[in-house]
Amino acid sequence: MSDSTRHLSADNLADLQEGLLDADGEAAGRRHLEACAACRADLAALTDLPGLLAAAGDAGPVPELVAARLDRALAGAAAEDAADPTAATATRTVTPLAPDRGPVRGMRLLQAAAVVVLVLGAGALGVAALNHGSSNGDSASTAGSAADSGAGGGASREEPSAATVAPITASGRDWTAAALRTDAADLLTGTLGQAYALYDRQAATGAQLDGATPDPSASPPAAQRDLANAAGGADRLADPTALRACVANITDSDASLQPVAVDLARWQGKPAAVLVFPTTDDPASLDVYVVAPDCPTGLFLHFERVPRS
Amino acid sequence: MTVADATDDGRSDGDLLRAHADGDPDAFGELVRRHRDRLWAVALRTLGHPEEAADALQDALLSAFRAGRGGSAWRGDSAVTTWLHRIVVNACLDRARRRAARPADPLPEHDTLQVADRHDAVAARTTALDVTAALATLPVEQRGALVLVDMYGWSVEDAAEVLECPVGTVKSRCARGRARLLPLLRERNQEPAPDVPPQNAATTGPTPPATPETPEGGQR
Repeated sequence: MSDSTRHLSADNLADLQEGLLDADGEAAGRRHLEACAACRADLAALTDLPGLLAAAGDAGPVPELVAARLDRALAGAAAEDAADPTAATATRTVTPLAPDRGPVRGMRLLQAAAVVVLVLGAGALGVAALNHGSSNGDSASTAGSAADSGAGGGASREEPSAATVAPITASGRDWTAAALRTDAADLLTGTLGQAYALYDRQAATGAQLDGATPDPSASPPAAQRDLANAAGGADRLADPTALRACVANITDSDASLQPVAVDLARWQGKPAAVLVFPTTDDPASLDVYVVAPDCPTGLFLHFERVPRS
Repeated sequence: MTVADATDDGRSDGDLLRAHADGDPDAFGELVRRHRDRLWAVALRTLGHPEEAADALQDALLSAFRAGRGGSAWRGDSAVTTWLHRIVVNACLDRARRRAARPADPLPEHDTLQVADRHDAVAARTTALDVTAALATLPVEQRGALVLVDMYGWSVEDAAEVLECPVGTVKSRCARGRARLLPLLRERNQEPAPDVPPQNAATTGPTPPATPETPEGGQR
């Protein structure tokens, strides 16, 4: 009776458990199991395995950065289709939006935006931004955000140069994907609704100065309440610390990456903040992130890549 | 509409995919938002590395986007989730095979752990890392089958549809994979597990505790 004296192999046991053995094999295996505690223990361990695997299966929600990256990639694919609808076939190849950039790929979704700041700011500052890599101070001092029109020319305070601030508006709009596509670029000029505050992009990189000071000339006390209403629950993000934390989450804490406009508004009826960033590798477009007001802990609501003009 | 579909709009998965084929710019994004957590989990556990998983997921969703736009891939006779899983799992297995062919190309461990830390609860992390590390040692095909069937509870029939192979093949891949993990399980069971005495799991029938050394019950 060698059948009942030799231990069953792991493959044998697993096949037995899965019902893959033929009748003879199964009968012989069962006979051995009756006599062999070690093989019974192995079978029990195999039986426990699915539970063990299931317990290790929970990976949590998709990380925000991955979600944003997926949204970007899909937005890019959609944009290509829109630009060339005849090419929308299953055989076409689409260039990934986050191509390999060396050992760390993709996860830092705005990794290359420093380059973009250069491209965008070429007209305004050009080479100055080259230095940002090591020194935080002048990193984001470019960006054609043209905040001057939105800031309303706050003459009473020490005026940051137009290039270093991004307008924070409270447009009161209930944004949709379609509205973002047509109007988000207008946020850069601060002309969609009154300027609510200024986001000091330069200060945000150094994390020293006051980042988002409500601009007294742009939002006088009489209008403050209206603006707060327009901003809805999202006016929490007018607080510089809160906004910086939110931005840091989106950019994976790369302080050189700063929004060129912020709108405290609504998304599908609920308070939300719209953050506009330069697109990493396309100066002709903008990347718009819509987040819940409790960003960075809350939901990432939407991503849209929109034309710059 | 089902409860699961009623998140943002009332459209079913199939509706969204058809709308996408018809050029609706938002439909596919909505479809992805519905399923991306599950797809992410499968990719992460199949590949074991967040960066690899993110790359595979992006590749897969882009090709699903294109296939769906072409209207060719999803024939309506399988669930959209199955179709999406098939594309994602295939992308993962392709990637794993390529990596297996280039063992000299190390993964960025540091980033990997950082991302994993964000979501794995402290208590569960050790087990999850144990198990995922062990999974990573399995041949790609076995890993794919075990992730679907044992980890995420897919029936072997549905898993066969995702993996595009016969049901019997799924079963045997699962069995072979479990067999390979047996040494790890033995190791685990040798460690003292205070609340799970090993003999409890050994048999299915009622097991009266035979405790000869107990001082009670001595007849007089």
